[in-house]
Amino acid sequence: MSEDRKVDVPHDYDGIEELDNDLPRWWLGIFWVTTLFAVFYWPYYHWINPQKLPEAAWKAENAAREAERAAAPAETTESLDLDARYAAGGWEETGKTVFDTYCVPCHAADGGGGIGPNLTDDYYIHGGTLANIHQVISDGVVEKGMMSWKPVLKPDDLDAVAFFIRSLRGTTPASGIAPQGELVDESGQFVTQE
Amino acid sequence: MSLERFSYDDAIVRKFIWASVVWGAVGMLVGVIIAMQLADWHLNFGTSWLTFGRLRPLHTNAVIFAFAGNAFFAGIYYSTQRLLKARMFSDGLSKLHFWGWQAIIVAAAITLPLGLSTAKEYAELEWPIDIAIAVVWVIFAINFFGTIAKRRERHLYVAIWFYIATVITVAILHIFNSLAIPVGLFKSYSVYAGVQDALVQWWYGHNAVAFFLTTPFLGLMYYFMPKAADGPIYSYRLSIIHFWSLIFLYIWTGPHHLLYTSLPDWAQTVGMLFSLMLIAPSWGGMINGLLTLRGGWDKLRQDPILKFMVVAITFYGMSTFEGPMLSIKSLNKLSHYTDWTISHVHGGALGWVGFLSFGCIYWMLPRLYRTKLYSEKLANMHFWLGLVGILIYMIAMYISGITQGLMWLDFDDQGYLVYPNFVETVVNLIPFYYLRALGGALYLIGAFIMVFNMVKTAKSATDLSDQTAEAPARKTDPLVGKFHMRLEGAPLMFTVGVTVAVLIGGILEIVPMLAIESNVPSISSVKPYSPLELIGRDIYIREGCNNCHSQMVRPIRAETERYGEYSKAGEFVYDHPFLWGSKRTGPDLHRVGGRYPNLWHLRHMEDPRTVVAGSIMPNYAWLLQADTDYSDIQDVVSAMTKLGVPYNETDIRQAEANARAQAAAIGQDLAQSGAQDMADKEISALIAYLQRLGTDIKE
Ligand code: HEC
Ligand code: HEC
Repeated sequence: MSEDRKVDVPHDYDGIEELDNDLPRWWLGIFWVTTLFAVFYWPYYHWINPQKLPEAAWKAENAAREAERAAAPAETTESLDLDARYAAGGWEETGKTVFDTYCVPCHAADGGGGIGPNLTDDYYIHGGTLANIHQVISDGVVEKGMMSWKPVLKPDDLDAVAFFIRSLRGTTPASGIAPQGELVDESGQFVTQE
Repeated sequence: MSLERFSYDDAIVRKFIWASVVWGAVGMLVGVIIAMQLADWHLNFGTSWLTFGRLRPLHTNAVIFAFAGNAFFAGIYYSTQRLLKARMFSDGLSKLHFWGWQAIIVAAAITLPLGLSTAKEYAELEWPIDIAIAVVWVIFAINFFGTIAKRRERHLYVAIWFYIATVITVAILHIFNSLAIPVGLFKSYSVYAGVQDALVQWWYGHNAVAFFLTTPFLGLMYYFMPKAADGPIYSYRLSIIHFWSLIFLYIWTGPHHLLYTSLPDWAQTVGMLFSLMLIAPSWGGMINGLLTLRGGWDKLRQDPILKFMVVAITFYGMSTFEGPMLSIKSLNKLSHYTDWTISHVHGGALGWVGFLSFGCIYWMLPRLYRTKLYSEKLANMHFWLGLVGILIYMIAMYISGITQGLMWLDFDDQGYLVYPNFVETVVNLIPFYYLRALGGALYLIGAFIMVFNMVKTAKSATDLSDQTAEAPARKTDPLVGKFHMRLEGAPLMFTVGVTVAVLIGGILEIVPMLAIESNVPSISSVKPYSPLELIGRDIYIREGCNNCHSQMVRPIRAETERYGEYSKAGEFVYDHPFLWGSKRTGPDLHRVGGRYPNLWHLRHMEDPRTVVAGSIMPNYAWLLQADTDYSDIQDVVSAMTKLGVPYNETDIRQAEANARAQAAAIGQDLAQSGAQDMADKEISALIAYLQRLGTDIKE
């Protein structure tokens, strides 16, 4: 350590000595690189590329993902022939999985209801046709605490859970809650009493 | 030249050391308990004051202010006297400082579990305790600067510079962040709202890390490292440059806790860039510390004290590199709100602060008791247990943080979230939560071994009288040498310099935020909270829900898909204090309003697992039993008007009646859905608040 430079001033720091070596070059390098980065980053980010600012970037990302959704093959399943696809089957497993994952807390594992209505009886608040059921799930009844599931569920999953709900009608839950809404007929249309 | 004889006050150092290790053990024990609570939600035994939300602030306050605080007070009292060649200015003030500080800690240990909290992180203590902290700090400052005034060694060694920065800056931070309007003895509301409160809080919060957990410990390093290693400090000029750049730059970095939030973009960028520029100044300290050991690395093998110190400095180097990396926005997007932050903090806390304190304490102990350390072997064991503990802890938290962060952001190829159900991203983490608790427990056992070693050492003390020393009187001839050398002989100028350096950043960041309106674009549909919602908000604060939940949806597609519209600055203008949170153990709650029926919330608060299988949120069953306290709601509303929230005379007069009416409506809805007699229970107030959250912009 012969090249060490000492601080030669008569201090007494309780016996502690100080050398006066040069600042390590790599250390100075870090200092300058980070400082220069800061100086250039500001104009780069805020002035030259304002589209990279969080809100603008969010909009761009949104657009990209929406495009992905639009391009997804799920488009092929047209919800118009819901009845036919319900009858054709093949949705049972998916429908149950979706129901178990998302709907059980409010509608109970067997559809008997709790926080949300009983889905097994012949009474519906929003109608019992497949189209009615599909729409409620899709749009929700937000002010009543049934959220809109369209943003969460893929189109196929949404259809499947709608079919599954339809299939719950007429089953017997362990402890269903009292019916809510109006009576519907076989097809799910409200029975209008004069 | 005639020598003056004097003695050092060592009794006060012994006191601080004991306080540090005893509180340290308690604080770490609480840490292990809350770590276990995240692994197994039963472990609060259904007791309100043992729930995670209340104990987490107790843990952080205990380890920061009680363990680390007392440790560096001990080190400062020991080294300052020796470096300045003078006994402390006043033994009486030293005692007042010591006992005052311990009284504050006791007050914290009682009030935090009771739920008396301001909700501001590391500043949760309520206003009477805040005032006590300010008073005790001033006592410390007088004692410290008084000692400088009567010093015999004319020049201030670098350790003293760091102490000066600590004393000045902590006072400034504490006072400005704690400004609040009290309502009764146990409650207060921050004078700042929303975005501004967030900025002031993190200006404080990050600089608590800087000036409470870094600068005092760098000072200790500069004294105890060369003592223990018996070598010279590597570079005096490096210490000058890194000292001034460190204190100047640190102050600006607070906004890196608020990246992607509603804080204006300019402030976020400032936080990120200054954090990056801080790498070199921080590493300057590391270089000076580690290179003290040049040529003496072999000593490291035998001496546990050096092991503690060298590992501490290494952790310091790692944390001060990781911190700036986490401040880079694109990485922060992933890491923020996850356990990665927790890992980072504990590298600093357990590794740097903890190990350096242990090293210094082991070094001082035999000298304070004029004996030998009882067992070097136990000290070595402490070292290895601690080190393994830290590594397990940090690795577990890296894995869980990165796992969860990636799951939150994950989209499938059709553009849907892969894990839209939040709890799915939680259940995976449980094994790592156990592992973390194991790491913490090992570290804690190490600390207990140390306490045992200390007791044994103290018992073998030979002589407890104060150590005497002699030194010539302070020289009075004109100061010579280069500018900085002269500055070191002029404490007043030096202190003024430090004050200016730390004020610049604070002022340039905060004043524009408070003064320029365009920083918080107003939203006309945003209205003040109703009285019942205010009561609910206070319950939220009391239970410390903000320790697990954020209220800040970031403009990131994965978040707007999961939670809804991203949060806007103008939505928080009536939030005294802000409740954005810093950790998402549970989901963000800013858009939870209207998402679920009232009954869902009631069931969920009573026992979250009845509606969300696998939830790790605690039960809050007592909220369904406790009666809502309407007694001071009028005072709360009128305090809010003083803070600028636009309630009118009638609002204030009818506050209680309004609150009761809203509660009755919620109670009626709950009764219709099957939960009777809930109107005047606390749960209704909390539901009122939750249902209001984030709904104003929908209209
Ligand atoms: C947070 C609780 C909750 C969850 C979770 C929930 N629902 Fe509901 N649901 C409700 C409520 C409450 C209603 C009643 C809405 C009303 O009163 O208009 C409802 C109504 C419905 C209805 C209409 C019933 C009728 O009588 O017309 C259907 C169908 C339905 N939900 C399906 C689902 C499906 C499918 C899922 C899962 C994807 C689900 N719900 C998840 C609360 C919930
Ligand atoms: C130990 C951490 C923790 C604490 C403390 C905590 N929560 Fe939670 N919270 C969670 C977790 C985890 C979830 C996700 C699972 C679930 O829904 O239960 C959650 C979910 C929630 C939800 C549902 C959000 C949604 O969008 O589905 C609400 C509402 C909620 N918590 C409110 C509170 C309130 C109010 C408090 C304070 C009284 C609180 N939490 C305290 C961890 C916590």
